[in-house]
Amino acid sequence: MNRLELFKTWAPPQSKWSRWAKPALFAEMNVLQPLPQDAPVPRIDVANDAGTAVIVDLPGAQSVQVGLALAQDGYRPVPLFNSAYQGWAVVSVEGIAQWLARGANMLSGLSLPPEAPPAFLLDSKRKGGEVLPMPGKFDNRWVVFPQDFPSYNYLMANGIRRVLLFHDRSNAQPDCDLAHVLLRWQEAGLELYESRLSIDAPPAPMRVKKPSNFGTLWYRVLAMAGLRRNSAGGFGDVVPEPSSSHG
Amino acid sequence: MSEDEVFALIVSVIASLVCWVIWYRDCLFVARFGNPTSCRTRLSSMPVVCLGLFYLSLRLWASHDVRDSFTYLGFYTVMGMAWVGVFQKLLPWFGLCARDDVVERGNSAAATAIAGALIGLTLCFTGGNMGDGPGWWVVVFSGGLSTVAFFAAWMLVARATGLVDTITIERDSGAGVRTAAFFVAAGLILGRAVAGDWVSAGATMEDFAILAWPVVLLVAIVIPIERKLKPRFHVGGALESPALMPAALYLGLAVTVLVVAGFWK
Repeated sequence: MNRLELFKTWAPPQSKWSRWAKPALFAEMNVLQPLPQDAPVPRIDVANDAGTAVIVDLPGAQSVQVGLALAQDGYRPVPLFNSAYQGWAVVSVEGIAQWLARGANMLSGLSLPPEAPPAFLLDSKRKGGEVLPMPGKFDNRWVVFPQDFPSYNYLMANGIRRVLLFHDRSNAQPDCDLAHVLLRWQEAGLELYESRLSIDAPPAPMRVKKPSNFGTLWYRVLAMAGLRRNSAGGFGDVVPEPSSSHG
Repeated sequence: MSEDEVFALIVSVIASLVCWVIWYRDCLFVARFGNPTSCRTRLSSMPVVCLGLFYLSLRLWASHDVRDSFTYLGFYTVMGMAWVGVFQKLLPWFGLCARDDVVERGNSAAATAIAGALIGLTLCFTGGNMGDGPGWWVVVFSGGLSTVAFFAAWMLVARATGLVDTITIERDSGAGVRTAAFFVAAGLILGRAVAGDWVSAGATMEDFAILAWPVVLLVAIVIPIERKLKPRFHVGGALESPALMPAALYLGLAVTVLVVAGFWK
């Protein structure tokens, strides 16, 4: 399976949600060592509800693993990882890419219907934090925007009435960038729920607080300040070394 | 050409090259893997359309010493391309981004709206070229006046209607067409408002106030229409909003303004 076939396995043209899948990480797949095919895919206990969309905001490969588990319950995992990859990256995405490769066969074997409800996959470590974007590092930190998700109207037209956020945060509020997405849906009338994967408790209703610059025309420009774009799409570029000359 | 004209030409050439090389790099080479390419074609053709508009309008309506001189035709055409190239860079601050929305997300509605914005900016600057004047700074002054008003009009419409979300999140093709029509209509009205023989900066501003007010009328018409047409889900309803009638209304208003205003003096 080449990288385009791999991408189309995760984002088949017939799926209603494929146009939101991000190809950036798939474009780099040829530099990765895939996991052995017998690496176990976890199961999580989620009832298949055609009226619920899921957002998986978990760290690294765990997000893909949960996406694959949701696929076994009838959800269509939609990878939104919008980051390029290099070995010395600020945000490690190697595990994500390996699991995307690992899960392709399983996903194509499931034959999910085009109308399967979506499970949008995010990396909760997308903004970095563990490795500083020092000169010489590959700065592939990234953020999501409301433009990366379907609109409220599109979700409603396709039968989605609720959104469930899987996360690993200590508080129920989503990251600021995701809050811009969820608050639009909340204001429009979708029911929002959150579930911490580490806690064995049913999903709880969620009220998203208004993030800064919500609804401003220039939000995207400000949110992208300091991030580096990649020529293959998405985010990621080498932080240049400072000039050694002093004039 | 005088020294200051040579300086302005050099600055224009550099600005044009930088802006449009980046534009074509984004359109042709960025994020090609897994992304549709149809919308990029529309964006790729826009600089050529703007170039053609500049050249044609200069040949037809510029000062006689410009339209009869290959050198000055080239000078003002390059300056116009630099103008549109620089000001299209401001569009992301006003909610529309060619690279993010069109190149990376394949958003056709955004491609249409941005194409309209480029034509609108072209018309704003073209107006400053029409009529006789003492030099290039007069064109820059007039073009600046209409361009500031152009962005202010869009800011009002965008804030009052949520059109940016309708285009970039809903990806509503109808909204893209209507927005493009709004941009072209605003460009026509504002370009006409700065056209004419140069007398003074004060006289230009006075003429602008007299001739540009229909853009306020345009904004006042666009806002309630766009609010009404904002996509709202209802069972069995279409998510795409109508395009042709409202777009024709916006353009019709601009053409009426041009006809009523007549040729400049």
